[in-house]
Amino acid sequence: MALWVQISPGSKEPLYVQIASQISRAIALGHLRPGDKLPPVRKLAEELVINPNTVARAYLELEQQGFVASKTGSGTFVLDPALQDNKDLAQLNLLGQRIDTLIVQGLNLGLTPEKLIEFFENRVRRFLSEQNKRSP
Amino acid sequence: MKYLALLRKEIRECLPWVLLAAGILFIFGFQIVIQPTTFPYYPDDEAKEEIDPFYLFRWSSLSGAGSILLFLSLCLGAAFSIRQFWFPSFTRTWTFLLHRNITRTAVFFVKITAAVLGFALSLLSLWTLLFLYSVFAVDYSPPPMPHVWLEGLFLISQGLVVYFASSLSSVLTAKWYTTRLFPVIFVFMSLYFCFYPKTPALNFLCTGLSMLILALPLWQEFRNRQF
Amino acid sequence: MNDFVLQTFQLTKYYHKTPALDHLNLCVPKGCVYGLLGRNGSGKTTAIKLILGLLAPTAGRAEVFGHPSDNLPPSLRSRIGYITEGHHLERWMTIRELEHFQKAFYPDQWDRRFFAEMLDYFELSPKRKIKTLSNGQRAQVNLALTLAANPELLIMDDPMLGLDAAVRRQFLEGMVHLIQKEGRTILFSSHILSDVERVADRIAVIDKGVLRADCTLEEFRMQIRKYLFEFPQPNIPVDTLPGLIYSKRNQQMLEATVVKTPEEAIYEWARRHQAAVEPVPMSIEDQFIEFTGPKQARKLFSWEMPV
Repeated sequence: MALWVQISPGSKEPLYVQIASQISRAIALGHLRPGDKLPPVRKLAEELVINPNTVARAYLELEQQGFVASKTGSGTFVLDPALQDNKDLAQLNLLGQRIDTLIVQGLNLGLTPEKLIEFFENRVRRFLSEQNKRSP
Repeated sequence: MKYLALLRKEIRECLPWVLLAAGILFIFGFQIVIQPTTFPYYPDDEAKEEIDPFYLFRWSSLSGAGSILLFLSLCLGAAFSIRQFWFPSFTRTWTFLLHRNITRTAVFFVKITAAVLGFALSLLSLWTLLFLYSVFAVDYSPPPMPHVWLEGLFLISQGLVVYFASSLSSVLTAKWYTTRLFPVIFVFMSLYFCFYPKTPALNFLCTGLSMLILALPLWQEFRNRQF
Repeated sequence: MNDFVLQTFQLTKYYHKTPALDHLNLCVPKGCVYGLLGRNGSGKTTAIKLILGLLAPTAGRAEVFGHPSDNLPPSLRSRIGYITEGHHLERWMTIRELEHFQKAFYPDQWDRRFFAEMLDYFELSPKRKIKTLSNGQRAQVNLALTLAANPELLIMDDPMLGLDAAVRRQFLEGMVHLIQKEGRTILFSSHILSDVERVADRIAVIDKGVLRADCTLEEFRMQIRKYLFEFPQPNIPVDTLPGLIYSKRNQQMLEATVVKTPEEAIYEWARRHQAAVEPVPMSIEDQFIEFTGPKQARKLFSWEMPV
């Protein structure tokens, strides 16, 4: 399994958010493929030395975002992002807000809007190429 | 099982003092007993010789060991109480001892048992040995009468009074110059009153009363003491 | 039947005339890891000792497993593991003697293999005497002694105090190990908030003997929020900000921490004062310090902020 979660307690992000964002990143990068099973809550909790409920909370978060689904008794599995149908307004809004902060940062660095768009495009391409490298 | 473990711990903690006291009594006691005694001559007391029950005790070579025995038993009483009741407050091990599936009363009685056993193992057993030795093995002095052994027991019991007093002083939480000092003052009074009567039965009665007066509040305090 | 393993009702303790704990109402549900937070001298140790019946309350009462604390039966005590502050153990004993001593009190519960494994893991020889051990090693022995007795309720009074990061991690591992078992409950106090964040389900914040917060860790993380405001004019009406617990200001800028105030209310307030507003993420440590600290930013070593 190509999943390596690292947490930093005491930082500004709550632990469950840290775990959820790392797993969603792993899914986006293709390190976790649709149908892959996430590590059992207890196992990940022991590995990270955190309360199992925090891991469960992170999985719940991922489930609510539609990235994974839990089947009772057998575990939590990664869903296919392409099949995701609940790209609802709230989530897109949130994404927009995050992009806004990036735009502010970019402009403050002195990038022109054109440069910024180019830069963003390049990053998306690089990410996708990295994803392709991983998945044969 | 748990009582035995606790008793073993308490005895083990008192063991150095037990051995030390026994060693001192062994060395000095036997030295005194094997020395020939001269017949004590008290011109003024001559008339009373017949009625003083301690006269014969004084007469035998064992008499010299009595003062050492008293001294050692008083010291041992203080040492036991320091080890059992004062020390855990300094090392902060009270909570480690008390938070267990055992009542405080049980802890209390195990401590008392350990102390009594300590006295019995060191002073009483050696005193008995000394007594038997001077009865059967020493030829040049008159053998002590049986009540001399009781006399020794009485001296040892004074150590227990000190033990209870010092322990009570340690579990009391009031200020030093008030109730905490009371047991110490009481011990001096008790020593005087215990030695005052001339009949062994009354001596023992006084000692028993002193112990009771000290042990009951000690038990009460220990049960309700905040740690 | 309630599912609370431990409850206190208006629990109050005075030392002479100084209040150490003031009307504490605490409920620890079964299966919960409960973190007791508070600054030094805030009454955490007093609370724990009262709960265990080692101290007598001035007023109020506490119950553990439904039994009043001032009279806990011995059989119940054997179900509660207690790790004292400072890890004071009998100094003259060797680890093995200590094990035998401890085992005698838990004849049915004692897990010999687990104890041996933990010693092995800590690289401690059972022949060592307690007085030759370092602080951290004594803590390790204490942890092993307590966990091997398989407690249903584990109460730890600042167990991580003065320990290095490695031993602290071992304590956390021990806690996670215990909580994975069915129906185990942990109540612990600590200063180290990143550790608390790792393991606690719920937290209680005690400040000067008073319970200031009692909620899930997540709620605590969500409900205390910090915002950065920028005002058009320099005199800022800080006091009207709802739920304000801490503020720091500099000319037109205001950094404010609020508790239990909905985001809309903040934006509404900012709009009313024509201020630009931006949320600032907080670590649990910042949250704790600002929650228990003075309302106005005051530094021990204060200096003028650059204008």
